[in-house]
Amino acid sequence: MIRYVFCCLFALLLVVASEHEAAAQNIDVSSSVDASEIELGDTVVYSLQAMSKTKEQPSDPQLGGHVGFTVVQTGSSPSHQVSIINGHMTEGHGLTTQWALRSDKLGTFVIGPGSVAFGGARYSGGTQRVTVVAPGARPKRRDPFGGRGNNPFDPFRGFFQDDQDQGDPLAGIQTDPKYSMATERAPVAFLHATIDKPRVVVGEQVTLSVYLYEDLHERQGRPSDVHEATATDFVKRSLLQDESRAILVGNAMVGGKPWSVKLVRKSALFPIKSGHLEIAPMSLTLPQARVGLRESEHLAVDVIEPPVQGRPPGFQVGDTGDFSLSATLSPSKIEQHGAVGVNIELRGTGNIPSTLQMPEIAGVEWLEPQIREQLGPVSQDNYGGTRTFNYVARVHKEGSVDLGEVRLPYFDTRTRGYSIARASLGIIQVTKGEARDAGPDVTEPVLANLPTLRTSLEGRKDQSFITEKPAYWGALFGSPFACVMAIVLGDAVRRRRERRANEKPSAEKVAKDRHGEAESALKGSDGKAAAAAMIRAIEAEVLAQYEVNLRGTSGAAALEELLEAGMLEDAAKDVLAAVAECESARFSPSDVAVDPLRDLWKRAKKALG
Amino acid sequence: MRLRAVAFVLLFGAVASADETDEQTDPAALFQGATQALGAERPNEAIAKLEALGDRGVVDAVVSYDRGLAYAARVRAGGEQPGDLGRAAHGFEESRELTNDKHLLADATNALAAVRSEIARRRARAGDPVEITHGFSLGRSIVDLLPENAWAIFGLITAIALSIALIARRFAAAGRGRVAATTTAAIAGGFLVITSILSWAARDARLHLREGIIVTPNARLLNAQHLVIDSVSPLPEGIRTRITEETGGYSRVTLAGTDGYLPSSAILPLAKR
Repeated sequence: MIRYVFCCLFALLLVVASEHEAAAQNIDVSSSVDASEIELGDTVVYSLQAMSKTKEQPSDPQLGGHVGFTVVQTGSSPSHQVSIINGHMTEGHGLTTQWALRSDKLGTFVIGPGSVAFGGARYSGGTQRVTVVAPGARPKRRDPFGGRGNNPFDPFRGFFQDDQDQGDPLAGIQTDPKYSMATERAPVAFLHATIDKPRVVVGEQVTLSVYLYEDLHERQGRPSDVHEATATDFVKRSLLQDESRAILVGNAMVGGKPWSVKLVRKSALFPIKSGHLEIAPMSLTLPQARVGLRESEHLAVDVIEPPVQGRPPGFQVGDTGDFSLSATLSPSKIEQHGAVGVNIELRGTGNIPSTLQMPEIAGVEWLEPQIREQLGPVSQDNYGGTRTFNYVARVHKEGSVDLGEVRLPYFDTRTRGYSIARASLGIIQVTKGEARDAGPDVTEPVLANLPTLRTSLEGRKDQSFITEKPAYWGALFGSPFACVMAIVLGDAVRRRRERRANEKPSAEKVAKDRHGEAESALKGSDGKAAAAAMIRAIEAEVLAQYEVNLRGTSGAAALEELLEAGMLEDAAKDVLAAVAECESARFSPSDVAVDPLRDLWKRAKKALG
Repeated sequence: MRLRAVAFVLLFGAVASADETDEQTDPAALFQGATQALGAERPNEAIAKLEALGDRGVVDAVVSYDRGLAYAARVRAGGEQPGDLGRAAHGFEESRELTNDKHLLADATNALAAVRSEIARRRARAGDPVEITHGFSLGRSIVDLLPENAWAIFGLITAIALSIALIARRFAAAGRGRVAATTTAAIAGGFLVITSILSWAARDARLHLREGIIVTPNARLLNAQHLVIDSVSPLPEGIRTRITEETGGYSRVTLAGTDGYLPSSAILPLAKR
């Protein structure tokens, strides 16, 4: 069993090997370098040539080892070869690939083997040895990108450099400061877009220019996948006769290096509305760059409407530029209901209007015009030309008919003011004649019974609104609220007063009141009344201070209660004595003098503290 | 004789030039020129001058009314341009909004009815729905019953009545007087709430409500992605609509309960007092 498996594997190997050998017989691969000894920092070009004898194209070239070198450029060029010998045609496909390598170290290094893919296998072209010596150790080698015929990548090789120059072939190249930039926007090549005016009025021309900057040291290819700069808020017109060709406008220093500058687009943009209007970038793809997409800048234009001040009637926003009108009329004499041709030529620069307002003359019927135009770039990068309107007017009245004038109000960008282009249409003589047709179209009457027009302005009356006054809203909700609050507060005050009136007075308050009454009575001459007042005052004071009610008690019981309540014995006795004396005076059958009572009151007060 | 003719031409030219200069600077002269052009059946010239008045910020009921007449005259003269009927309707609607003159109000209303009838007639011929006016919501209709100041005064009266009733109820003895005061307070309180809401709504409408007239024939309502809403029929010109928002060249409108977008150029906003 094992022997059988080995036999199968061996047979398979033989088949693969024979196929590989057959393929190898159909392709020749070789390699070479353009110098075997270079100085440190110089570049050497390693070339790999592969030529097949079949219809299959060699592909996927790979450099292989390149220790001591850095790849700075790569380029491939396929070839197709057909030869007929003695009636027998043979066909071959080739692929030549070159790598530009910059030396990084001193010493002798092996580059390669470079290889290509063909027939399901890879075929190498051999290695190359290159010695790198110190700078100045050998005569200066020509820059492979500089000298005529030395740089396989440079389309400008030898164009700007003379043969004897051994330095940078682009040194001393003439550059235009107008196109110079501080830094490059991208390596190899980039797009740069500019506008001539950042702030315009509606309809005023903005010139958009897009330049392609190409590094003169780099190999340039043909850009592909071109996307135009879109400007949806503008009417866009090209100022170039042929946009498929880039126009070399000069060279410029960008980031300290010379670049060629080509004009790829130049367009007149007419803004159709006001606002901050944006212009999208133009983009293209460079086949020779690793990241090949290149975009121009996003641009924006601030657009305003022309001033209202001095704006003539009939002005259409967007009619901006510099226009003139001329008109010719033929014939000058017709029969009634006949037709006359009016040729109006509108010429100028800017956003040339596509319609004209024809004068309204009773008995003159204007038919739809035929329009011809010859528009394009004119002097000083302006867009303009001529638009011709061929009108036919049918005249339904006789006599000398003045066709009036055609007017075109526009905003003049030169004077930044309004102007009116006008052309007189002339006078025609109309002789009376028979109607050659049905005459003017009789349309069904519409809107026949409209009211009459007004000829005097009504004027505006300043109207005031009550609801704008805060006092109104205050009064609206404040007055009922205030009433409710007044009622609620009034009731609350009334209830509080009643409650306070119904409350029992405190013993201290009673004592204070009785004290006052006694003092008042003692100031009078009625001894009995004073005695009674004194008794009430003393009882109230005792009640307030010791919570002992003397009323209803007397003698030893009263004394005992007072002592129990904490009153001193002498004071208690004095108080009871004063009460007793007052009782005697009060119920005395004769008049009682007040003066003794005053002394008694003083003693009682002293006893009570 | 030739000298006289030259002098006449120069004089005529000078007068014409002076008139034109006046019209460029003086709105009254411009209005006069517009009415003369309209009277002389030159609607294009009248439209140009009346629109120029609008550009200069002149807001007047008569200017709007005459502008409506001028657009209608252009339609009648056979020189109609798309949107003329809508613009005529706009002029008359605006005149109705602005005027304090009842005669002008009546004329503008009649003219508006005539214009909308013409629009409806054309739509009927084309097989389109002929509904031109969708009317307002119930709330808006109630608010529009009276002027804003009338609602405000009415509210003030109810507030005063409520206050008096509250005080009377407090001091009235029990019996008929108290019942009458309570009833009055309840009714006045209810009316106060209603009239204050209507006053506020009228004020809000004056300050914030923006309306316009569609001036594009058969405008299509768009959704938020600005794609046509197929379920909504093309809108007739001359229709009045509420503008709720304006962004990026599109206006958000509300029309008979339907919300959508229209290009701003398809709607002419109505001026307010």
